[in-house]
Amino acid sequence: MRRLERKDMRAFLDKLASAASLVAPVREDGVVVFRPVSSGEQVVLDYVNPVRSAKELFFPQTEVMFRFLPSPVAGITPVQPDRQTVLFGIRPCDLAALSLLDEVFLGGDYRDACWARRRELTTLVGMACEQPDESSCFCTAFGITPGTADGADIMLYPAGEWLGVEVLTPRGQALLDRVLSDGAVALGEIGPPGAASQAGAGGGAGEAGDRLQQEYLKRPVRLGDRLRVGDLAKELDDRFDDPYWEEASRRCLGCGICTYLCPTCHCFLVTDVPKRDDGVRLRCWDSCQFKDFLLMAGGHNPRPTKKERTRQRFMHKLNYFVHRYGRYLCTGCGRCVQHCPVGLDMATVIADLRGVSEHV
Amino acid sequence: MMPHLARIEEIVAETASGDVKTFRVQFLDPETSFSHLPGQCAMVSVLGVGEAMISISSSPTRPRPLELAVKQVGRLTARLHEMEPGDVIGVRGPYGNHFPFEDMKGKDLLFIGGGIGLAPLRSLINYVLDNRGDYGKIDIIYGARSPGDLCFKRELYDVWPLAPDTRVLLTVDRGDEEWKGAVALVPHFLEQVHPEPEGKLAITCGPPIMIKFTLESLKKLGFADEQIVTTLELKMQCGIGKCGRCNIGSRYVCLDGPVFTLAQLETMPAEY
Ligand SMILES: Cc1cc2nc3c(=O)[nH]c(=O)nc-3n(C[C@H](O)[C@H](O)[C@H](O)COP(=O)(O)OP(=O)(O)OC[C@H]3O[C@@H](n4cnc5c(N)ncnc54)[C@H](O)[C@@H]3O)c2cc1C
Ligand code: SF4
Ligand code: SF4
Ligand code: FES
Repeated sequence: MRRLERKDMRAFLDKLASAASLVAPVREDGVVVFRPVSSGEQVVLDYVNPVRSAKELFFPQTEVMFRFLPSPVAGITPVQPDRQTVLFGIRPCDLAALSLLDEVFLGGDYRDACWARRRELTTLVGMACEQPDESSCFCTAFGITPGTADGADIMLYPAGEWLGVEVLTPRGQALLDRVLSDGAVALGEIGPPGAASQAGAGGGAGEAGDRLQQEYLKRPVRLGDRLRVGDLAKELDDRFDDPYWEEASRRCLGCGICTYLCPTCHCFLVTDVPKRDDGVRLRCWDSCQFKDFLLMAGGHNPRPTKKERTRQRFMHKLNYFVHRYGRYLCTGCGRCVQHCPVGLDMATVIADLRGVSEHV
Repeated sequence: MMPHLARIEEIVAETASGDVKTFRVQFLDPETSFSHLPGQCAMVSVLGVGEAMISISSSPTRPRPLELAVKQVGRLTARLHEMEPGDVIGVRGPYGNHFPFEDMKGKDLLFIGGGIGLAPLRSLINYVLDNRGDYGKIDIIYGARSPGDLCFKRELYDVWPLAPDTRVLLTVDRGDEEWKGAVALVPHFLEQVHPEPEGKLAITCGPPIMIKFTLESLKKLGFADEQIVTTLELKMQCGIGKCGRCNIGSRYVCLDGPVFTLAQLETMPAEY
């Protein structure tokens, strides 16, 4: 791990922006969101997590899959993204969410070309969480921590006047090399002056970096520490018919906010937009919370009421997905906790299902 | 999720009203690799409208042209029905699992179809007839609302009944002046035919309500859950386990189905 002085952060971001198209957290109308930026000036560093997750960089809310000419001429031209991108400031929970969506889009017999392409083109610069949100973050429920760097190419660990910089992949190294190439920004060594020479021998600098990392890995996350899911997936095998689903679902508005903001929700629909002579095929986010999600010809709907739809959302994340992929489809990012207008969020539901109080 | 382009060669109206048509299609690029198994489906595109999942009704033993029997129910299927030979559609797949044609070897087969539900069964029926020696006796019970609604009439009347050890038993909900056959709902007709379950597999496909009562009738006749094979239909968008549309519990109908034994269905939540 090396050391980046906080006062050099803007210059570091400027360099990232000149190395590739940079997407980073910015404040827009009072909320923090990931946006393309052209300079370090625009980036905010005092954020907990952007309101909208990082998934939309890889799986846009509306994505053109291909252009077509209709019958009888008929032709199909794939639309492929081609811009090298750097995503700066992604948190451990969103990093974990990307790896969960990798299971969906890249796993099994069918590889999703659009997702794969965007993943390949994007270098991820992660940011460990100095201050998880007291009332909504609960990543530790799923074994993720404020310092979990899995999936990042470079991970940053804030440490007061400076940040620890850990390079995790060759892609991360290549990006860092470009950023540092003209000497405008330099990284220092961690630890007492002179420690650098011992670093190779496993001395001070390495230890200080490890200590910083450990501190993040063990950082308490109040809500998550209370909610550890344990064997919940297994318990839910027998709770499909639990009256809880009906009870909980009564307050749902069916607005779909939870699914749109969730970094792991991936339901989409496919639709064509014809123009005069040609057109595009899009895929757009959809939500299992909408009542016509499964509506079929003749009016048959396998999930006709809010009970079935609420059950689907939580069972999918806490049970069905675990059966299929061996992991929970939630990272405790807390977005549904913050934004569900009626408090029917993952933390509440886990607390209810496990019979623990969510509030200390 | 990129379709292959395919040209409609021929269109056959299956029903008197024309609400079901079979489309015979050839891939524009003859090198397109696409080989299916009986029971598998394809995502069919009408460019400018969208996609719909359609069972492949031709048998893999007669791979080209690919045959798709489509009932007009909504936007895409209506546009498809307006198309003419020479028009170009998109096809991707094949998707889903298939009928257990290997496990069926040596057994007697009882097909029970209703309406457009004969389409996926037809792929298997022709596959089995093209490998006639591998299978036992074959009974095909098929029903529709009226005589005009029976699909695949040429095969029903002139081809399948002539195959060795093969019976075709037809029924309609409402007959007409010319109809001499049975008038009964498929499940009732099935009970009248009264097949013995011994050494037999029942394969059924049709409208949900028909399947529901047919399953009950089969149980009444003594068929075990493992002897009953059916297909499920759910709304689909991707056909490949990505869009999150077609799950029943932890199974995706597009990947793990559409073919299930009743024994499998009993282990799944009844949310379909
Ligand atoms: C595994 C599988 C195999 C199938 N095989 C065949 C087949 O061989 N032949 C065949 O004709 N059809 C088959 N279908 C059904 C076919 O996919 C639908 O009829 C088709 O998608 C309807 O599309 P549409 O655009 O014409 O209707 P839409 O315009 O989408 O729908 C018309 C009306 O029905 C509703 N609807 C929405 N989704 C569906 C749906 N999936 N099915 C029916 N209605 C829906 C709409 O809300 C609307 O009110 C199969 C479906 C599945 C899942
Ligand atoms: S369910 Fe809620 S907490 Fe879990 S990943 Fe989705 S938005 Fe975040
Ligand atoms: S659970 Fe909350 S956020 Fe999700 S649809 Fe219902 S009311 Fe909206
Ligand atoms: S159709 Fe998309 S998951 Fe099955």
